[in-house]
Amino acid sequence: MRRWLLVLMLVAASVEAQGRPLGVRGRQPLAFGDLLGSVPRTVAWTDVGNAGHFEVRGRRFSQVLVSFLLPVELIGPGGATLPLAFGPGDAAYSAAGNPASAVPFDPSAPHTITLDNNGKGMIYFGGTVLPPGQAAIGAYSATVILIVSYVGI
Amino acid sequence: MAPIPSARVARKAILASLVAAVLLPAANVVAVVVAPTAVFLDHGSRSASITLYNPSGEPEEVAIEPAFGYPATDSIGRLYLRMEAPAVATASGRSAAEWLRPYPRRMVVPAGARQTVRLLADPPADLPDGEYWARLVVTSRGQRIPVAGVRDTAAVQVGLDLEVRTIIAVLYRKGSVSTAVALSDFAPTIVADSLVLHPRLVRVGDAAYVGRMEIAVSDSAGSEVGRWEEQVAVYHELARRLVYPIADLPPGTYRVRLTLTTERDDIPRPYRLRTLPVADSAVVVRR
Repeated sequence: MRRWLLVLMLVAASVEAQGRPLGVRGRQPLAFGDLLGSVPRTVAWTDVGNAGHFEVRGRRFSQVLVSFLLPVELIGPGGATLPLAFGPGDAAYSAAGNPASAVPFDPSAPHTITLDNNGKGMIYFGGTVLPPGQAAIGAYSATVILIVSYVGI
Repeated sequence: MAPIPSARVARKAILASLVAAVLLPAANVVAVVVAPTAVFLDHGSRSASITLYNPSGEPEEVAIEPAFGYPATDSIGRLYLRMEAPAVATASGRSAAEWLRPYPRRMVVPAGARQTVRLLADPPADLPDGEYWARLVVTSRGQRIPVAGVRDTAAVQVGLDLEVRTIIAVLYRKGSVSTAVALSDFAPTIVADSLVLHPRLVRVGDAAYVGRMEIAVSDSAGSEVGRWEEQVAVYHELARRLVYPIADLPPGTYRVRLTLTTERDDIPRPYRLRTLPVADSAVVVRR
C-alpha cells in the first residue's frame, strides 16, 4: 500500500514538473454587428463589448509566443469577397486579464507574452471589415490561424 | 416555404446596403490542449508520448507534424520561433524532425476525450552523441465559428474557421551532453520610466541552455527594489531586448544584477543539465 502511494506521488510530481498543458480558449467573439455597404466598420481591441477575447493557459509565469495568420477577406459564393483588415494596433495582451492593463501589439507579428501566476493571460483583438456596395447572397468564410508555442524551452 | 420572386428581389435590394454581421472566433471556442509542454527522449528508450485533450463540445480534427525550429531573436531583440526548411534542418546536423514519427499522425479527438500519441524516434545508425531538436506542431481545427447577429441568415451567412497550432519542443539526447552559456553586452540603461537590457546569450556546449534569468535591482544601500524573471532557452544565440517598468523608483544610483541559472522545475529532473550560475552587474543612474 505504501509502495503504491509512493508511486502515485512520483507520478503526480512528474506531471507537475512537466508543467500545465498549453491551451487556448475563445472568451468573447469579435463582433462587427450590422454592416452597411461601402461603409468600413472598425472594432478596436479596447471595445469591451465587441472586441474578441482569447484566453491562453499554460504554466504559470511561462513565456508563450503568440502569432496570428489572418485572412485578408472572407470568401463567399462564386468567389465574392468581404475584405478584412488588421492593423498594427489591433491586438493587446494583459496577464491580469484586464483591458485596462493591456499592452497593444501588432497581431501580424509574433509576440511574446508571459502568463500570470495562475498560468493565464488574455489577448484582446480588433479589426476592420470593408463591405462592398453590393454583397452576393450566400455563405462567407475564412480561416483565422492562431499559433501558440512555448519559447522558454 | 420559398419566398415569391418579387419578395426575393426586394430582399436582395435590402442586402445591397445591409451586408451582414461578422463574427470572429467565438466565445467558448476551445482548442485541443497539449501536454506535456516539452518532450524529452533519450537514445535508450527512443519513445515518448503526448496527450491531447479536447475540452470542447465538438470533435476536433488534429494533425501532428514534426518540424525543425528553435527560439531566436530578430535584429531589434524580439523573440520568435525560427522554423527551418527541411534542407536547412538536415544540413544543421541538429534536427530530429526527419526521424521522429508520431502515431497516429492524424486523428479526430471526440468532444471531452483524451488521445495519447506515441512519439517514436528512428535515428540513423551512425548518429553521433549529442542533443537533437525538433518542434511538434499540433494543428487542431474543425470548429466552425457560428453566425451571430445577422438579420437575415438565409441571405448572407458569415463564419470563420479557427485553426490553432500549438507548438511544443522535443529534445532527443544520445550519450552524455553538457551545456553552458556565455553572457555579453550586458549594458542596462534607463529610458524614461523603463529599465532596458539587451544582453547577448550564446550557447556553449552541445546541448541547449534551458534556464532562467533573474534581473535584480538594488539601491545604493544594497536593498533590493526590483526583481524580474525570464525563462531562457538558448539553442544558438539570443539577444533579446528586455524592458521593465521602474516608474516607482526615485532618482538615484542603482545596481542591476543579471543571473543565469539552469534551475527549472518545469523540466523533468532526469533531463535537467546543471551548470554554475553566470552573472554580471552594472550601475545605472536614474535622474
